Formats: sequence, C-alpha cells, structure tokens
Amino acid sequence: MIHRLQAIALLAIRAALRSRVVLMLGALLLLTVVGLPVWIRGDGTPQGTFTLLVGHTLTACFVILAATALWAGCAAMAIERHGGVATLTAAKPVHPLQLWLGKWLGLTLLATIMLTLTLLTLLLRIHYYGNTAIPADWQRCNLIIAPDMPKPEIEADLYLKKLAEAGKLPTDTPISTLKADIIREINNRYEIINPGNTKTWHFNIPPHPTAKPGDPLLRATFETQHYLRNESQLSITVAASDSPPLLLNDNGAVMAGEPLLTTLPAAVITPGAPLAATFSLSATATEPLFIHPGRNLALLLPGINFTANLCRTGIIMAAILALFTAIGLTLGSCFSFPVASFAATAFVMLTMIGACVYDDQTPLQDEPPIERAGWHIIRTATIASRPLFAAAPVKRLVSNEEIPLHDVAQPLVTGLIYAPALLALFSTVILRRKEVEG
Amino acid sequence: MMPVIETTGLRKIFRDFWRRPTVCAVDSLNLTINNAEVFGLLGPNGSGKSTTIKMLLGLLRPTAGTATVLGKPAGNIAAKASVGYLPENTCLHRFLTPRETLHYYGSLFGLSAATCKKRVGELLSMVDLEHAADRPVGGFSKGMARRVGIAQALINAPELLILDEPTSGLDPVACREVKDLIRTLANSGVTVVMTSHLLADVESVCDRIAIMHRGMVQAEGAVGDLLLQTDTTRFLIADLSEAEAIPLRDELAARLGREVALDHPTATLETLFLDTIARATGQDSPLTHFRPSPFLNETATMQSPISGPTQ
Repeated sequence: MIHRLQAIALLAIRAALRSRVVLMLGALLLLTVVGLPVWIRGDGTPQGTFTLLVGHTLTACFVILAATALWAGCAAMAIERHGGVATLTAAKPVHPLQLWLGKWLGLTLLATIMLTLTLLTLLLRIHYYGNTAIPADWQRCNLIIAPDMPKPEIEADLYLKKLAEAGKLPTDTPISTLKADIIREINNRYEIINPGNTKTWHFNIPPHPTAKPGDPLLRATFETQHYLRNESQLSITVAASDSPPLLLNDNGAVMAGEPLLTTLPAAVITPGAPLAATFSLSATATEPLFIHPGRNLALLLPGINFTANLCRTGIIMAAILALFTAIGLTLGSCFSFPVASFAATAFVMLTMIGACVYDDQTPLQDEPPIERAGWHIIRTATIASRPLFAAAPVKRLVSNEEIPLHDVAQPLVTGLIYAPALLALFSTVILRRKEVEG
Repeated sequence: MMPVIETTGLRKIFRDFWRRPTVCAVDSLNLTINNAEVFGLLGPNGSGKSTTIKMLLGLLRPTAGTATVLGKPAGNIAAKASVGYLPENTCLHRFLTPRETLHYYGSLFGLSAATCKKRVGELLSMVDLEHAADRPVGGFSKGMARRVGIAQALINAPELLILDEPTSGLDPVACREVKDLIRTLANSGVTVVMTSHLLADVESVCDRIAIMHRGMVQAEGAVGDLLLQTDTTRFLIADLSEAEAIPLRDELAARLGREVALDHPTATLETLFLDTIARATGQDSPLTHFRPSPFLNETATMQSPISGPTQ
C-alpha cells in the first residue's frame, strides 16, 4: 500500500514538474519571491516597510501557489484520464482511492516544498532588512503580540444596566435576545468621536498573560468622513481597575487610515482585571473620527517572535494548499482538463468574492430570484471556506499579531484531513463509475 | 478445471450524453478460455474485440451479462494482480525512461524493490531495449514504445496476459519474437488472450479463435478445426520433379474422373523477410527455426506457374 502510494506520489510530482502551466507558475513565483521585495520601497518607516514587504510578497506568492496547486491537481487527474495513460493504470491492481491519495500526497508535498522555499527566502530578506534598519524600530517590528479586542459583552451589559436604571428595558423581549441584538449592533457599528468628546473601551486581560518580554501596545486605526487624510490631535488615557488613569498620548497627532501604535507601560496590565482605554479628540479638531472597534482597535500583548509566527502562517497556508490540491484532483476526476481548470478558477473567484462580501449578511428580500440565488451561492462558499480563511494568517502576520495554536489546528484539520477525506471519497465514487475508454 | 475467463451473455451498449443508446458493441457473448491456452479474438474494426477485453479488465462496465477472470468478477482488484495487459495504443508517461516506466508499474503491482530491479533487467533484455533503457520514451518510435508496453504487461509475471493488437507497429523480426514469446509463455502455463487484424499472426500462435462481427461471435473453435477443408485432399511429396509430377497428376485425374490441381507450397512473406534479414546480418536463417511444417497448413495456396487445371 505505502509502496504504491509512494510510486504514485513521486510520479505525480515528476509529471507536475514537467507541466508547462506549473513551470510557468513556478517561474512567476521565483520572480515574485525574489523580485518583489527588491521592488518594494516601503513607506519610510520600519513598520510600514515590514508590512508591505511581508504582506505583498506573501499574498502574491500564495495566490500563485494556490493556482499551482489547483491546476496541478486538475492536470494530474484529467490529463491522465484523457491522455490514455489511465487505461494502463486502471488495468493494474490499484484502487481509485489509492490513485487519488497518492497524487494528492505528491502534489501537496510539492506545494509544501515550494511554500517552504518561499517562506525561507522571505525570512532571509526580512532578516537582511532587519539588520540594515534601525535596531530599536526593528525590534518592535519583530515583536509579535497577541490581541485582545474590546469585548462587546461588557458594553452590552453596561447599556442594558443603563436601560434598566432608566426603566426603559423592554418587557416583551427576553434579555438574552436583547443582549444578542446589542452585541450584533456593536460588532457592526462604527463609533464616532466628535471634537472635544471622549470614548472609552474596556479590554479583558487574561488571568495568565504571557511572560514574553516586551511592552504591550494599543493599536487603533481611525477614519474620517473625507477622502483626504487629515491629521488630528488625540489623547489616550488608560486605566487599570484599581489604579489611577495614565495619560499616554497627550494631544498627539493621529493620521486617519494609519494605525496608531501606543506603547503601554507593562505596569498597567493587571492579570484578570479589565483595562479601560479612553480616546479624547481635541476640541480644535475640524471633524470627527470614526473607528470600527471590532476590526481596528486592539490591545496587543507580547507573544512569540516573527519566525515562529511565520511558521504558523506557513502551516495554515500549507493546509489551504493541500485542500486546493484536493479540489483540483476532484475536479480533474469529474471533468476534462479545460473544464476542470475553468471550474477551479471559478471556485477561487467565488471564494474571494465571498470573502469580500462576507460581512454583508443581510438576506436579499425583494431582489429578483437570480440575484438571491447568487447571494446564497456566495454565502454558501463563504461559510464552507470559513474554517480555512478565518485564521487570516497573512493579515495577522503583518499586523504583528500572534496566531494562536488553535487557529492553526482548525485549518490543519479541515485542509489536511476532513475536507480531503470527503473529496477523496467523492472522487472515488466518480472514478469507479466512470469508464476508461482511452 | 476452472476456466481462466468465462463470460455469459455479455453485452455492452454505448450511450450518448443523454443516455440514449448509440451502438451495441458486444452482444450475447459467451466465451470460455482455459488455462495455458492462446485465444485469439478476430474481427473487423468495430466488431467489439477491444470492448470485450476492456470489459474483462473492468475498464468498461457490461450493460448485461457476467464475466469472471481467474475465478473473480471482471475488474476485481485481486484478479488484476495476476493479469498483464497491453492496450491497443501504448500510452506511456513520455518523460519516463523504459526502466522508470517498468519500475513504476512494478510498484503498482506491489513488487519489492529487489524483485522489481531484477525483473526490469530481464524484461529490458527480453524486449531488446537495454540500449535505450535510460532514454525518455517520449522520443521513441512506435515500435520501441510497443516493446516497452509489452514489457510492462509482463512485469508481474502474469497468469493471464491480455494483448490488444500486440504486433501493431512492430517490424517483422519483432513480430516473430513476440509470437515466439506468446508461445513460450503459453507453454509455461500462462493463458494468453490476444486480438489482431493480422490473420497470419493469430493463425500461427493461437490454439483457439473466435471471429466476431457486429459484437457477436460468428465462429469459434480450434484454429486447425476451423481451417480444415475436408472437401479437398492434398498430397505432399518431398523432392518431386516436374517431370515426375505431371504424369502422376494426369493418372490420378484419370482414375478419379475429377480435376486434380498440382502446385508447390509457398513460404509466407514473413518467413521470406526473416530469411533475407538473417542472411544479411550473417545469422542462421530463421526459416530453419520458424518455418512451420507444411502439414500445419501454414502455406499460401497460390498456384505456381507450373500448376494448372488438368486437361
């Protein structure tokens, strides 16, 4: 069994390396991983350059690798089936499941090797950049920190308490439903800080925070109602539950659209106690600031280093590539290569569109049936791919956020075990039903 | 003894995309092929030979009827482990060398690395491809690719060998070698099922044949029995000069009161070709090895210039 799988896997790798499509994508990957970091100039700051370098290069490389995995999968099965070689293979004592598994293992291994080489090249480039950048700034870039977003539950409880005190609590709606509605509102709501006003958010500090060295960071990205980015003055005060407030950024400049990173003294972090962060916009500001707390506000605590986080990102990406290979093989089992590769491309586009419109969860009511059907298809694709893309590894890597191990495990299980197993069984049924006429 | 292949009422109807029947390729096929037998399937193009073979291998599903191979249902994976198959078109991975191709198919049969290496060496030598063993098969001629195909069919030392047009694309010398190989395998207990358009090939190697037309068996039996013409009698006398022959013919015609034909047996073009090539390369004439006895009736019945109807 192992001997057969090994032979099929090695042949799949050799066939993929002979494929013109894969060779072309490989050349493109090489150009991207070597050329793009040289071409990217950055924005003048170590943090900005780091973000651009890692984000753009890794995203571009992953798109190429995903296309390679999908199309190599399609080609491995479809071209063999329609090129006549399948006649010989089908006459041998090989179960279709073995054939599928062998090819999947081979192509996944190939994709993983390509991904590893890409990540190693990127890591070398980052270290080279780190050695040439200002050490203190680079130290901050290389510090990976764990997020703890403001908890909407706290705000929802406070709001409910206020309503109860004012005697305005609705009696016909259960409290749990009311709270769930408020939490949903908070999650989808942009908060406004008008000139001269303040806004406070509460963060839960874990009872056993990590003992990694480094200062905590408060990260906030504000927006304005104008397309032009204006500079405003903002003060930030943080307060632990049993200590006096600490003014950190007294009327400091904040640029809309740019992340504002404020270093907090480690002393303000009290394990298990909430931390309040208050943002005060200067009265002289010409316009209000907007922020989406769920997306753009985070308290970041010291965590693992960049290399370890890159490894976790790599594992998640490898799992996604394994799933893409499985999808390619399945499509190749069902259709000819042109049809399978077209369907694979459509799948990727659908998933990407789904990821973009994911936040729009309002079901369509009065639209024509075709629009509603389209909405349901995209939503289904989004929900199906959620376990894989929820980890958003690149986004978190460039945001200096630690990717927790459970966020690594989920795509790993989905991409390497659960989804490929289902696709393998489906393909086996298809291959057993299909006749080899070549 | 249990037959190696047995089909009962085997039928195959091909359908189009909408599941409408387009052609009945095989109909009511009842075959029994015994151990160590060389069985030939003959028929014009589209008569259902390849379809029958593919159904026996499980590559196509029968519309009706049953087929057993080595006592197991056709297509059974355990049965396939003892079957060697050479398809009509030798489609190989173009980037693999013959050695790698044979190693790959050996692995699919679960052969150990040592067994595989030994077997690959033997087969490469047998099909005379040692000189090209490490060249990609993509650059091979049709005949060389066919040799690789034959070698892969034998990699697992099969009990049953199914050959679809085995001599297609081969030169006459290689054809002869393949036919000898088939006979050698059959003598060692391997059952061989083959199809061919070249009737002389089938005639010289097969024990039994079935002639198919429009998906049905039109004639089946031992080659000798089918070819025997009991309404005609032929005397074969060695070293008889023309001067001696003509009076004998005339006397026989007079005694029987019927027409008597006089001719010389002729060699086949194949044997003439092999003889010429052997002489050109300074080897022993293969005619001495392969020329069959005229009593096996492997002679064309062309009339020689000296023969003619009796007066």
